[in-house]
Amino acid sequence: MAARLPIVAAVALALPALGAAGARADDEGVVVQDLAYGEVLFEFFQEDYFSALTRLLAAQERGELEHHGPEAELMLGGLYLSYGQHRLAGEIFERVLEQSVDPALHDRAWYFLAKIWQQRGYLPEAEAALARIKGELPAELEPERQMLYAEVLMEQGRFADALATLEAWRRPGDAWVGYAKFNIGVSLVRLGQVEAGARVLDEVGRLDPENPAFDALRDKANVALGYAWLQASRPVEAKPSLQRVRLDGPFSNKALLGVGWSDAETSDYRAALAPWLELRDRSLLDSAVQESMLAVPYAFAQLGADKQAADHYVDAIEAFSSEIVRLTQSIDAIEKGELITELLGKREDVANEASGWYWRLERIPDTVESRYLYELLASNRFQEGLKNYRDLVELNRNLDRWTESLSAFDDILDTRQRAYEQRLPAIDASLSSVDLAALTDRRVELESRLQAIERSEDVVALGTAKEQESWQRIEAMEAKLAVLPNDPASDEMRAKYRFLRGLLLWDLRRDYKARLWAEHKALGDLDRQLREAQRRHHQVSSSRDDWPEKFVALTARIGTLRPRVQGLQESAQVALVRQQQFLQGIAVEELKAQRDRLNTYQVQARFALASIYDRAAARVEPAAEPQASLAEGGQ
Amino acid sequence: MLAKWIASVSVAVLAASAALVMAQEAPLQTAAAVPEFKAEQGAEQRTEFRTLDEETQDLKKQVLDLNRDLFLLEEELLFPSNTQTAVFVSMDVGEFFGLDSVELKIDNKDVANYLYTERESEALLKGGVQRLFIGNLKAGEHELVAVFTGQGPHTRDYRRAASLVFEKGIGPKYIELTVSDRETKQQPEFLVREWE
Repeated sequence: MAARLPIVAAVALALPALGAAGARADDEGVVVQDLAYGEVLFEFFQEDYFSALTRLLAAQERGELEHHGPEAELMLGGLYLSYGQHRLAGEIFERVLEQSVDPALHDRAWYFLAKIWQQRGYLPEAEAALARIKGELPAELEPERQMLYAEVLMEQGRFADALATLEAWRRPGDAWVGYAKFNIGVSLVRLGQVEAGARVLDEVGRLDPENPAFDALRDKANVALGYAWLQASRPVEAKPSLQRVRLDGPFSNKALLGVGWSDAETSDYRAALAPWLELRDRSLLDSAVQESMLAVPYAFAQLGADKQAADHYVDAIEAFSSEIVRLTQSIDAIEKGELITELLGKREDVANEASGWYWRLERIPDTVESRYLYELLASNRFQEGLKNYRDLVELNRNLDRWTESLSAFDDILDTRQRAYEQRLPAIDASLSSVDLAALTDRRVELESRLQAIERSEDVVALGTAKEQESWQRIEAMEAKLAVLPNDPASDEMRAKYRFLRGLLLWDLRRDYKARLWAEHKALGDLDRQLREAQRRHHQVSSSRDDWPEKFVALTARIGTLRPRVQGLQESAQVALVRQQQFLQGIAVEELKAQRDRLNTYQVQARFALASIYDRAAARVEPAAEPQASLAEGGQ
Repeated sequence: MLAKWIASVSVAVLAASAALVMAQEAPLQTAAAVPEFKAEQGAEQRTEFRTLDEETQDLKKQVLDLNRDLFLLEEELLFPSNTQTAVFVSMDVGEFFGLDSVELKIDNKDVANYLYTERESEALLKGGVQRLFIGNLKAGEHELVAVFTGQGPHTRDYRRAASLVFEKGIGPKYIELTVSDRETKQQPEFLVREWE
């Protein structure tokens, strides 16, 4: 049994890594010795963590896990983790995992706990959990562990430590090495070591060009590299990496903008216009496209083409205006609560899928708001907040259901009370009709009689009724024979008497042992029947006597549970609203930031346009007409 | 100078980069996100997120404890221990076997007729135990008849039955029906076990 413990518990902790299908029990795996534990597993394997937890907690409370104690505790930790209860999971792991548990399981449990803590922004906790991992995780998790550790350090602003970790873990050929190098490159740039960072990013930017799996990573690295050079005012070095970015990829807008800037930085505005004009027909949702709307007229102005510059500024101002209007509409829609509904569907559908931490928003709906917020919606904090929101919806539904059930409980209790009152007279009559004490007395009397027979070896007492009757008749003859004269006839009768008496005594003595045994056996049977009768009598009698007390206790339990349900219902409702407001708040904040940027762009465009008008006015100072026409175009 | 304009995009590119590739669950194409909060808002949002998260954790724990208490109360009310009788289903099959349905009769009355989803059948295969029926029976002798249908290897259909006469005593009675192929290899049968 002991050998199986880690395997069963590992089922709980294997789930996040392997998915539900990966946790199959086999012959040497799950052996259920307590039915309640099997019930927990049944819910757990269906990924219904809430039900599994409820069943497990109830089983622990009722002491139904006699054979699965330690593994049930570990299972509880795993279930808490699966249900997103990271703090409780942490407390249990702290208690259970530090004892004699399989080292692989120990490390895996801390890894998953670290992961949820990182995703929810509990960074020191995540770092501490990672530090508890003693060995190397399985091949599919070890790279993720290294990345997670680096990420935890970077999110705490400890770039040098992150860098040291990633440098120490360079493993050529590992699929994750590209990602690690990318992070190293970015860390270096952030630390101001542009040259060193650029070398690493350049390497990633040229990584395995034939392998499409790395397309996005290469593009990302090349864009990062290009912008690192641009920020360092080294536009010439920036251009080659930006030109390596795929034109149809998600990073092409930023790359095109950057290529333009690298030309513009070297005052080649004509060259800069080519990539910038390419951006003109692309989606204005992209900040690179928005910025290009200012860059294009800027280049025209630098080339002295004030007319085109003015036209483009006018277009930009119009585009920014309509975009600002759309953003404002989106902000209004989000503040009315439409975002969450769009993301999760109607409230009644929300919790029908698996609950807990492994859930993830699979598909972002194609709406105006979600297009603006694509990046935010993919972020850990939004996703984790959304999970909490879903769990709160389910809590509310659960509490609503119990409110209904509690009324039913009252009815059930009343029905049982009425049934008790109706049956009480019959029960009392039945109980009083049985005199268990008299039966017991008779049994005692029987036993003492048997003991007396045994002591005196009274073989006659155990004879049959006929034998006893014959014995009495023979015994009665003795006195009569004694008074007869001593003649031959009387002597013959005495001889017959002795013969018959001896014959009967012979038979009685022969059967005595067997009869004594049978009597003892019958007495034993009687004992058992009497005990069963006493037990049943006691059961009925105590049920009868206990019920009033039980009724009071059950009534009191319902009475205390009702305000708990109501109180939690109120808290859950408040928490749900707050969680929704938080999610809406960060979405609105993001949209407002986008709107603020567009407003700034708009101001810059107006300012630049005014400058062009001023210049035009200065050039045609004596005649005011052309300036007026330009000014009209700018209004 | 043009540098003031390129600031926003370049900051986004470099600020976003590190976190992007580590969004492990998301495919790389969709990970082209800028998920991190801007520095000045980050701390405030992080604090608010954490406060809400901790409150949600507390609330979930309280609701779980409440569910435990209500679960126990419900069972005591509906199925008092002196009459409680429960029938469980489990599986112990080596080869793949998909359980389709189980019908259960007690004292010739239909008490359960359960159709299994693939998810439930899988959960049983992995070692889960389903409580198929819970109800109240008087003390004394009762008869249980169970029939299961399902599909074995090579899409072979099975239908097997089992019966049991059992004594219901004064405490709760638990009966486990196990679909097993241990007795006859590749021939799933019902094994019946009474639990005390």
